[in-house]
Amino acid sequence: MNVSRLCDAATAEALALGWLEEQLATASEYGRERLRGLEPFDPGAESDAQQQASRFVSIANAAGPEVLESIREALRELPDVRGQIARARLGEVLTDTDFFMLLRFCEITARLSSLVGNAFLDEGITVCSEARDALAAGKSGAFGFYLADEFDPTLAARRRELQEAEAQLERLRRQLAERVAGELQRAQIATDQFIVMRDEVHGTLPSGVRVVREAPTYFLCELELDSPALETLQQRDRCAAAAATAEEAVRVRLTSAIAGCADALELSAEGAGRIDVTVAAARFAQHYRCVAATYLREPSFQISDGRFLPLEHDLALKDRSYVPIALTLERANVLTGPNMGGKSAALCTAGFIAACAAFGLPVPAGKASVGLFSRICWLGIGAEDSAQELLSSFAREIVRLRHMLEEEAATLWLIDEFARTTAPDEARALLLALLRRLGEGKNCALAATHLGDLDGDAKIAHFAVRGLRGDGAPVAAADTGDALRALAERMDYRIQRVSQAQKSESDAIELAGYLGLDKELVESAKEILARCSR
Amino acid sequence: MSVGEALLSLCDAQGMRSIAVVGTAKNVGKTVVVGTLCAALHARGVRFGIASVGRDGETVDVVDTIPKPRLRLHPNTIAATASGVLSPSPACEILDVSNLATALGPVVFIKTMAPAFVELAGPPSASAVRALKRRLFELGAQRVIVDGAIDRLAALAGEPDAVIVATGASAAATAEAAAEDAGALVQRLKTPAFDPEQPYIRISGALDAMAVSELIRANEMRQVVVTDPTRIALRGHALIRARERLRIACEQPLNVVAVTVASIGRDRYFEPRALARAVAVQTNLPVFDAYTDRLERAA
Repeated sequence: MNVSRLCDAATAEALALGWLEEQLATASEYGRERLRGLEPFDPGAESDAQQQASRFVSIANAAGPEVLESIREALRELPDVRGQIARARLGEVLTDTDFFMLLRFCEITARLSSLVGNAFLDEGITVCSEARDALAAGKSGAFGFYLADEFDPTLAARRRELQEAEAQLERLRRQLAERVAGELQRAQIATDQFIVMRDEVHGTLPSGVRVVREAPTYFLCELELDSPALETLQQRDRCAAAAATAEEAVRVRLTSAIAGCADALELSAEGAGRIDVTVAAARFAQHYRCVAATYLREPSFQISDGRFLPLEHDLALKDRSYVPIALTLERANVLTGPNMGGKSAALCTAGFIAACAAFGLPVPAGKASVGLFSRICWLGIGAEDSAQELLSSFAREIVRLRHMLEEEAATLWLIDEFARTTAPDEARALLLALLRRLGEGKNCALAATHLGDLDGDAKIAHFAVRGLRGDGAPVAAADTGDALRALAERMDYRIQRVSQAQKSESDAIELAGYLGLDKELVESAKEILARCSR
Repeated sequence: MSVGEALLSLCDAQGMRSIAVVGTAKNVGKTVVVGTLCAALHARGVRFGIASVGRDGETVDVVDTIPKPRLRLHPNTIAATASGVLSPSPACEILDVSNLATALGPVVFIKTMAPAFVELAGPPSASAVRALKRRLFELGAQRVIVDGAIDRLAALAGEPDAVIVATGASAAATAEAAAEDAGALVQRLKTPAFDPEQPYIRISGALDAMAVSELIRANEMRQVVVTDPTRIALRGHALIRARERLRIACEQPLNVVAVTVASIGRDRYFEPRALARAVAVQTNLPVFDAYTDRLERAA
């Protein structure tokens, strides 16, 4: 996936788009290449994106997981024959291993073709019957390949001659070896060179034995072929050369046939890649209960039951559940709420769903109506640029913002605790100014913040996480995991639109108590807060 | 009974379906031993598979370019080798192409259709060798022979193979030294299985001289357990001393069944009977010489 066209590396990391790519892993090399080249849809291409996402979802709904898995199984077995096709085009004679792979490719594409039909995929796959027919005579066993005699009568004749010469030579050698072994009183002569101990030789060595080396206690020997055997050896070598020539002639002919249908084979390979990506996207939709978003022509964002899948996945591993959120954004929006209330997760949810939509993928939501954004930009926590490490946190943030503002594309801005490291009054002013600016263009911006009094501007919509429910006493937090679980039960992660009058609390002191901070310290903080409020 | 048949009988007695032949050095007659095993299996009418850890059966030594004995396979033998060393003629049936990569291309599984000289090249890792063997059995082999060099011994670890150690005149300057080296190697490979009922200390990774010194200094009385004998990185006297002072054992023992000797070396020749006798004494295993077609046993 060409993620870099949609967002920079820091944003991709914040939105866990690498995780998304892992979930879309394809089964074949063709699919991997096609997925690598997948581009996001640009604003204006809403109907194409809509069509693609709807198609993925309708396949996910129509085909059962086992049907999609059987297609993937076939794709996994599909050999990558692009190298073979290219070499055949260039006139290089292919090897038997190459023909094996090409024949297998043709057979599996034929199997894929029928599987795809059963899975209601509207895209078919071209089966290259010319290549299949050309190689068919070589099929042996379940899926083996042999340069069989059936390819050419000459080949069969040359092999027969070789076989006869080979048998004749073998017979003569065996006779010689058996005679020598008998005369030396040993079971057999099993090696090309053999040792005869001097004290085992009574008289001279048998005829047909050549001494390679003499030592005080033994002779190192070889069998010496007589004239008829040498003539047979020469005949065998001539026959072997003739058979090799005949075999190579068949390979040349088959290579030429493959080169002749290279276009059709490449079309098959492309089709396999397309199917692979489609099946991966449909599986993703099935597994994560995704829907096709409704694509809007303006930069807007509206979801219900939206989920940030990487977080949902991590929570599930810890036996905790993710609370889906609903969000209807205007051009400029702020999100406030308690610490640990899911503000950053809400930004991630919006970004993740927008990214899925941009690539025409099903989105993890109950329902979604989104616009296509050219860019998604994450600003704030989690987007530190290591290249700017000599700058302060604030300076880094500002430099990053400056670069991002230079782009004039329709952008989804996700702003997490912007200017958190500077004085709150100035930070508030900067954030307000930024939101006003972003609200003017083709943008949609959502800023999570603890800063207050940001809703004085009528053009900025204010959302808040509902926060802690009731006044339950803090639990003993000896174990952080238990504390987090208890906290999650008390936290209402839902997001609601709020008016100016509804002030949002951070609940920071109470949460610190939940997380096991020293009681005395927590009480002291509460007293100070009460004094400040008075 | 031929040497190949005698070796097979020893493996049969251990109930081993696969046989690994490892050499103590280059040019110690490993290919000749593998050839005798192949001939014996062929004579029995057994369909077998053959694979290599690394490269074997080449016509000339890739290091010094001197001609080497070649591995000639009978028809209907299944072999695993890198596609890059597969001879085009006589053509073999291609049974499968694996995703195991070697420097010479992916490993392909072939079946010989006519008598053929075959060069074997395989992957060096233990997991890849295991995968090759599994596939050879799936493809119909009843027995599997693995041709493995000593420096890739680790690839055989944990496998239920019968191991045949090949040594010879190329392994050392004298017959005595060659026998001592073979004895030390066999002793190392025959490290006994540990007794889980008795106290033990498990060594992760290699048991080297430094670790052994520490254990001896600490007067360690428990069993010192390594995963398999190939993790013992000690040779010669260091190994003998370590065994005297420590109870070294392993989780996955190897089954060394025999030793073969080749008294003809690249640069020197040993007296065949003296070499076989010395090796038998040092290893306490049956010793076969394929060149003299003899068996030697320690008294």
